[in-house]
Amino acid sequence: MTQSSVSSQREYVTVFFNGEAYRVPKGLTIMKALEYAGFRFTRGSGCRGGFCGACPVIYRLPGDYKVRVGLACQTAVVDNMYISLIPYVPLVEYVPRREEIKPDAGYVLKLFPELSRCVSCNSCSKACPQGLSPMDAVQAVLRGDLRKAADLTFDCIACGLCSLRCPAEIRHHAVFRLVGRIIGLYYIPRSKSVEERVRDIESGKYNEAFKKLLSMPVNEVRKIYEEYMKSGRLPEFLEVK
Amino acid sequence: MKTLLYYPGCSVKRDFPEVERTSLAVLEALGYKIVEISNWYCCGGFPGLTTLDHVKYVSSLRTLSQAQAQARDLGTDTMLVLCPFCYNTLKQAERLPRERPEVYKRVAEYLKDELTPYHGGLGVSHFVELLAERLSDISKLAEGRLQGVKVATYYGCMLLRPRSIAIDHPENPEIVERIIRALGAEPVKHPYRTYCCGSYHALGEPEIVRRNTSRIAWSVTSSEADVVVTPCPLCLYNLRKYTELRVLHLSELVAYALGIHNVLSPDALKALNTLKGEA
Repeated sequence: MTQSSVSSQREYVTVFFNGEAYRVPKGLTIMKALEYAGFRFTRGSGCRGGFCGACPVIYRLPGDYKVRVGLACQTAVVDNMYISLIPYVPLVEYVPRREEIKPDAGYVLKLFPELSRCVSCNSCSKACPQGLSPMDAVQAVLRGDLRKAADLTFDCIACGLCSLRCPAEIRHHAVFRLVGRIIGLYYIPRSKSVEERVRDIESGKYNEAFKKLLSMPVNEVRKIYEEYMKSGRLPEFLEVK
Repeated sequence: MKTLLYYPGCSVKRDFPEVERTSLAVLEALGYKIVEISNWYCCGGFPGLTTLDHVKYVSSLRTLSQAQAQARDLGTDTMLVLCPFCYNTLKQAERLPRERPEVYKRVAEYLKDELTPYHGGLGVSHFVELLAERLSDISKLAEGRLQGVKVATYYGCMLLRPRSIAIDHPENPEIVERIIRALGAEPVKHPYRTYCCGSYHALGEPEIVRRNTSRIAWSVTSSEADVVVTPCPLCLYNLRKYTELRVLHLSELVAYALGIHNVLSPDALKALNTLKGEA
């Protein structure tokens, strides 16, 4: 099939954005479709792979009362879709220093008192593009089970769609980040190997090798890299014991 | 062995682990098998305190819907609740399909694209009610360990009001006194047994709690009781914080009387040992 026959057979759909209609090829994601229509993303776009949480979008479909949500880089356009981009969800939070953090649900509630307004409506889980259940995590915090809250929200990409839908105005991903920090600080065993490596680096063990590597011409560094990818071998000066 | 589907509630889980420990130990000693609901949510009592609207029933009906399925699998029809606030909210939600169908319909409509709506038929029982059904077994197990101890009861509000869900007569309840008698202790009544302690005003207007608890303290003191017990974690908190009373959760007294001492906190055990010494 030639290039021209593909484009002649291409199907188009109409989407509405900022009150204007645009004809865009069927099968594109919302992000690609808007770029096709001539918009350039300077904010609200990141990895384009569904993992950075920068491109939340809300939309409605014809004949459906529901407000739907998703990520612009992951959601395919549908005919007569009404789209609004949410480059970010405003969220004010106090980020405590590590020494202030207490491993205690009461502490989380003190920083985020709105948590106790959760009525378990589950609007947050319905909004989550990652398919998580923020409601269960909020409920876990309320009953003091921070570990469970952290496990449930490990895959949170902080897009903020849940906070946008929450009638209790909970700042979900800020809560989850705090809970994650608490778990990291107090519950998970410290990684010995990381501590050792940090000690090694601080003691200057790798300084000489680094200095040499940084002063080498680029194509020699490339040679080292290619050799390493081929055989797994490094030159002697990089094998610091 | 009868199975109880257990709904813990946030306060009990987070702030009063000793209440959970002692209550469950007592029920197990009475031969119940306890299974915690695998997926439960805040009862909704807290947000529902300010305005009585439909939203407070969303989380209760969500919990009841999931509990219903699990209860069927376990072959039980009883859901155990420890916290009077949770009891109050869940019990009212449990009765919605029958008593306030228009409210039930709206909430169920909201939940129906996620869950099978709760249809009714699950018995929501408070810890106190379950104990009151087993008085003769309790007195057998108690072996008169609390002989001569005078115990006052402070009921609080949530187990008695509104009247439709009260576990006993809302103005002159006897149910906890019957349990105390079965334990071999001597129940003493006092006028402010069912007066409100001030509840969550502890957060916003502690003066109200100070005033109410001081009346309760006067009432208990003039009854010459050795100790006061309450079935409510929040009343326990308020009475401990604002008065000098020697106050225990009902489950702690029962656990002590039944000889289950290993679940008691050191403070409770010390208080109870002192009591017995005095008696």
